[in-house]
Amino acid sequence: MAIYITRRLLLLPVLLVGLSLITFVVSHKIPGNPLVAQLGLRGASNPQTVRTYRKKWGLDRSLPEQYVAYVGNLLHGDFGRSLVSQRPVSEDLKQYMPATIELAVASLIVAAVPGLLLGIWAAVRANTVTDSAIRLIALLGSSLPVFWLGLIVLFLLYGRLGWLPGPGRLSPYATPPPQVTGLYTVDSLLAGKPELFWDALKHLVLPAFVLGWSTMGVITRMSRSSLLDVLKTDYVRTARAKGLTPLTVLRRHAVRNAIVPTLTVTSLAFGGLLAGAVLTEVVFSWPGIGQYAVQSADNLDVPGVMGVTLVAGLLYVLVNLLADILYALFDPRIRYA
Amino acid sequence: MTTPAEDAAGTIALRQYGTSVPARLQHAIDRIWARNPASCIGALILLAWLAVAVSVPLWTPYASNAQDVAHRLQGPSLHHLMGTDTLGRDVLSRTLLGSRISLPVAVVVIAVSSVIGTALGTISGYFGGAIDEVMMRVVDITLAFPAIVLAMAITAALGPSLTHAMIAMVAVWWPIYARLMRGQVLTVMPQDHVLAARALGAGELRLMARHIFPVALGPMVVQATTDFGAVVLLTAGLSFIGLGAVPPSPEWGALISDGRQQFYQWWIATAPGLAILSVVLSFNFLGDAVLDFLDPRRR
Repeated sequence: MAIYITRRLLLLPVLLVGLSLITFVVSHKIPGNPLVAQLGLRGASNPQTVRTYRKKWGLDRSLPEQYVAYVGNLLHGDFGRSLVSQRPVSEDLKQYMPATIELAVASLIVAAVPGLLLGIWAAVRANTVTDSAIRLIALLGSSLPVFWLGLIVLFLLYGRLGWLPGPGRLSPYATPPPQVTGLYTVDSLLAGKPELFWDALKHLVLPAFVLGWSTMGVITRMSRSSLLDVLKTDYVRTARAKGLTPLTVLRRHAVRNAIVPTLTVTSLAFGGLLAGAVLTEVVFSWPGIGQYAVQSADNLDVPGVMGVTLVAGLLYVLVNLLADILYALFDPRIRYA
Repeated sequence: MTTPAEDAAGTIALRQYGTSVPARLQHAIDRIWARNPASCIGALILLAWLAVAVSVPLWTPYASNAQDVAHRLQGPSLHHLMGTDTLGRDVLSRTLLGSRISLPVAVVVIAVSSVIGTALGTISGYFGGAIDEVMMRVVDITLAFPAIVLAMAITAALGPSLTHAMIAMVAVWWPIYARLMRGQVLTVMPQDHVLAARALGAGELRLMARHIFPVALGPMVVQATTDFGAVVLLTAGLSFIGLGAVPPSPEWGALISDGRQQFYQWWIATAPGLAILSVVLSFNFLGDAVLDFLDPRRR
């Protein structure tokens, strides 16, 4: 297993170089004059500024050297300057990141708990109406366009019924809690403001549900099929033959063994959450990096989009690595060499 | 590989249904309907959409861009079954016409990326070595991005248009097929019929094209079926955020984006959303059936 994990770790730098290479190449396709775009008309007319800029990004040198300069700047956390906000992209990302993390974590909770329970329920009641209904719910999750589902639930639960608040992270009159983690639900509790926590939580419900549904479907399907496999094994039959109650068999023998593949799928689904977050954030005016990416893309702000692309790619790679290692740890049968 | 029991069942089926093509087709449909009725419903819905896409300009009561500002933002009525939008255009007609964009886009994206992916995957698996190593690392890297994020980056760099969105989607989709095909080729290559052909002196191109490629193709078809829905969703998503089809186009994602501007006129987004849902759900039903069919453990 050590060999397997080492191999996976050795692949990491290759992936990172690849990620930066792709964003580098795509950035170089920027239409128009990147100098004017980056420095503004006044900056671009000042020879001193232009020289410093060209030196920093290695624009006076060959393409491979430019790439080295680009990676060097990335490693120092310099993603360039956003054309829209006129601030370093890294600062923008820092500002928008917590909202996305809060949304993604909330969706993962919304997805994992009911997903697992529904999967178990469906497997126990395999090939019954209950099973079909649960499978339909799961399949709907991956068939509904999140941006449309978001509009519909917003219209019904906020627009018509008024049960839940509208877009955004907080009500318009509320002031955000002092920033500690950047997650409003956590920060409001740290600041000792339960009413603010309640407000933040209510705003989180709809987007988390909309974003979580598709992931819930994936988790449901996986836990159902892996539990079905386990229920057919000899040790489960033995446990039943011993006279254990069905619930004990399920709890002590079946679910524990079925949960390993489900765990892997859950961590892989995190990547899907990131992707879905882009559209969900747009619909719910959720100020996360997904919305930032869309705004940047709409304004042809390439450094902004590339910043998000790099961060999303990096997160995705790390989460996949974590999933593989977890899998190897949990399942001793996995020994790739 | 078939078990004796399956062989026997096949023989009985042959006796029952005969060997003519329509009879065998009938048999296959009967079996699928008995095992997985949802997939048949899915197939019917898709056939219906296909018929709509082909014939709709002949019979929609309103043209895609026929404006009628006097009757703008009207709710569903007998004249406009799904209401009208900001410019008084008929929402249902536009949604039906939208199938002529969304469906061909998905077909082209899947076709192009599976051709590229299959070709590169075959080469990678057949030759192995350095070519394989480089190719698979490129695949790893491309798959390391969430599809929509990479597609956004590419579309943003090229400028928003449906063609660019399609290029971006091909760029994120081909690696899936390349990896799958490579695995297939690796399992088919050591098989006896390939060795026999090689012993008879078949050249490399012939080996790849005639003896390996057709045998390895099966799972690619499955993957393509299940990917259709995802491509339809991604196309709509990109158009929704303004990076795909641009306004007067009745592409479904763009229509929903119109609906978002008119939040309280719920009907504008409803029809295109249901259209996407029905198409994607049908493909997922079909994919489920295909998996059922191929995975013996699920029988």
